[in-house]
Amino acid sequence: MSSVETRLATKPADYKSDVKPIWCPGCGDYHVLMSFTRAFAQLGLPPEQIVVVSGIGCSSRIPAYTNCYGFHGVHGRSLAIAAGLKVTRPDLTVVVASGDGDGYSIGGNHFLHACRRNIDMTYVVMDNHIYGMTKGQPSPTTEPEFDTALSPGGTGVRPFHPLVVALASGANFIARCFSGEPNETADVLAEAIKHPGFSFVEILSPCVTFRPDEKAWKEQVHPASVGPTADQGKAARRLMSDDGFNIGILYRGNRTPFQPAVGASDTDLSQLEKGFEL
Amino acid sequence: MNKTPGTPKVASLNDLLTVAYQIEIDAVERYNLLADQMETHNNPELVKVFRDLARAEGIHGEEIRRLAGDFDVVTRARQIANFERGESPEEAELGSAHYMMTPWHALQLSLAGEKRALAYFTSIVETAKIRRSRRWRRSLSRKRPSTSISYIDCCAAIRSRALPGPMIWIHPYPRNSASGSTSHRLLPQRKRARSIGLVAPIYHPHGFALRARQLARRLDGNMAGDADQRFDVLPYFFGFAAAAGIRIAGA
Repeated sequence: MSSVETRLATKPADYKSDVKPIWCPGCGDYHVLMSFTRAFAQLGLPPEQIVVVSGIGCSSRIPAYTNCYGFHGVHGRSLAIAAGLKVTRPDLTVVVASGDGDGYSIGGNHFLHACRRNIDMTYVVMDNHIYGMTKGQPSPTTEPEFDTALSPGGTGVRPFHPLVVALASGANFIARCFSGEPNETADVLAEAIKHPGFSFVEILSPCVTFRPDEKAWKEQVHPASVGPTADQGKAARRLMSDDGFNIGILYRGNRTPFQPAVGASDTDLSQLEKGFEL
Repeated sequence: MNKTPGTPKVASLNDLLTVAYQIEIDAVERYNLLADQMETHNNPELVKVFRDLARAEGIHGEEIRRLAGDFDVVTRARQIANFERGESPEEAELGSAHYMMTPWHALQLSLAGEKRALAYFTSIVETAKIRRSRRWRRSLSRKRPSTSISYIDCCAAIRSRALPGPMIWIHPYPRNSASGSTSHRLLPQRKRARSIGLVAPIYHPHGFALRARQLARRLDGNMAGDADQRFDVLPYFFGFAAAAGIRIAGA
C-alpha cells in the first residue's frame, strides 16, 4: 500500500488494540487514548512506524491499548528508553506516555535532560496531581493544602510547574491540553509529533477516584488568550501569570534536534571484541 | 470550558442527514465504550443498559441511512460532521461515568446527551437557509423529544422511584407480538393494567413514552414514599409492557 493510500485508509480505530482498558470509569486517560489514536490517524502514520513508550502508572498502560509498537518500561525511565530508541531508529515516530508521578518525580531527572538534549520525540504527561495506581499519595504537582489521611495537614510543598521546567530546560515545543477535549488534544498532539525536536505536552487528566474534585476542571480550563510564541522570554512571562488551566500551545521553538550519527557504523565488531580477549 | 460543539456547515438536506447519522454513530461508539468499561469493572447491569442504548442509537442511525436513500451518508459522515469544539453532541460524557454508577445514572447521562442533541438540531433549525431543509430539520428536532428524550426521561424517573426493585429497562422499539396467542395469554394482565388507569395505544414509541411518563407521574405523585405500593404497581407495569411486546430486562 502506498503512503497516500495508507493515509486515506487510517481511522482512529485502526490504532486501537483488542485489549480493553482497565482504567476507572470516568478516568481522563480514556480521552487521552482517544486523542492519541485521532492524532495518529490525522497524521496518517502507519502503526508499525510508531512506538509508544511508557513507564509505570495508570497513564503508562497506554501502549497496551494501541496496536503500535510499545514498550512498558521501568518506573520513571520511559524517556531514557525512548531516547535510546529514537537515536538508533530515527525513522520511527516515538511518543512517550507518562504520568505526573512517573514523569516529574521518579523520572524527574530524565525529564530535565531529555528537554536539554532535544531529541525528536513527543513526551505526553497525563497529569492528575496524584499517584492514582498506588491509591492516592500526593505527587509533585499536588497542591500544598491537599489534606488526606495520606498527607495529613497537606503536603506543605510547593508544586512542580512542569511547563516552566520544560521551557527552562530547552524543550522545543510546549503545550497544555485537557483530556475532556479530545479533538483539540488530538490536534495539539499531531502538532507536537510533527514539530522537530523534543515536544512536551502536559494533559490535565482528572483522577475521578482519588481526586473527585478534579471533575471541576472541565469548567476551569480555558483556551489561552494568545497563540504560540517562538520567543522563550515571552513564553516565560506568560507562564509567570499562568493559572494552570490555560489550554493550548505555549511555545514552538526552532532548535535543531539532537541526532548523533549512530546506527550505520562501519566498525567491525570482531575488532572491538579483540580488546576484551583474555 | 464550553462543551457545545461548533455547528458544521449544513448546506443541503443530505448534509443534514449526514450530520445526524454521524451523531448517532458517535453515540453508538461511546455507549459501547462505556459498556466495555462496565464489563471490565464487573457491572453486568450497566453493561446491559449501555449495550441497549448503543443498539437503540444504531437503529436511529440505520433509519437515517434509509432516509438518505441513495446518498452515501456513511462515506461523507466524517467529512461533513466535523465538530469544531467539543465532541459529538449526543455522546455521553465519559468523565461522568464512575464506580458507583447505577442504571439511573446511566439514563441521566443518556438524557443529557439527548438534550444536547436536541439543542444542537434546534440551532441548525434556527440557522437553516433552505426551505425544504428547514422543514426536515424541524421534523428531526421534533422527533427527538417525542421519542428518545421522553422515553429516557421516563425510564429514569421510573428507575429512580423503583429502587431497590428489579431493573426496568424498556426497549424504545417494541417488537410486534409473534402471534395472537401471546397477546391473548396476556389479556388478563392488560385488563389489570387498565384497572390502574394505564389505557392508551402504546404500540408506537411515542405512545409508549407518553404512557410510561404517565406511569412515572403516578408513581411520583400518588405513591411517593410508599415502597410497598410501588411494588404493587410494578407487576402491572411489567405485564402491561409485555402485552405490548416491549422487552423489560430483569422482569
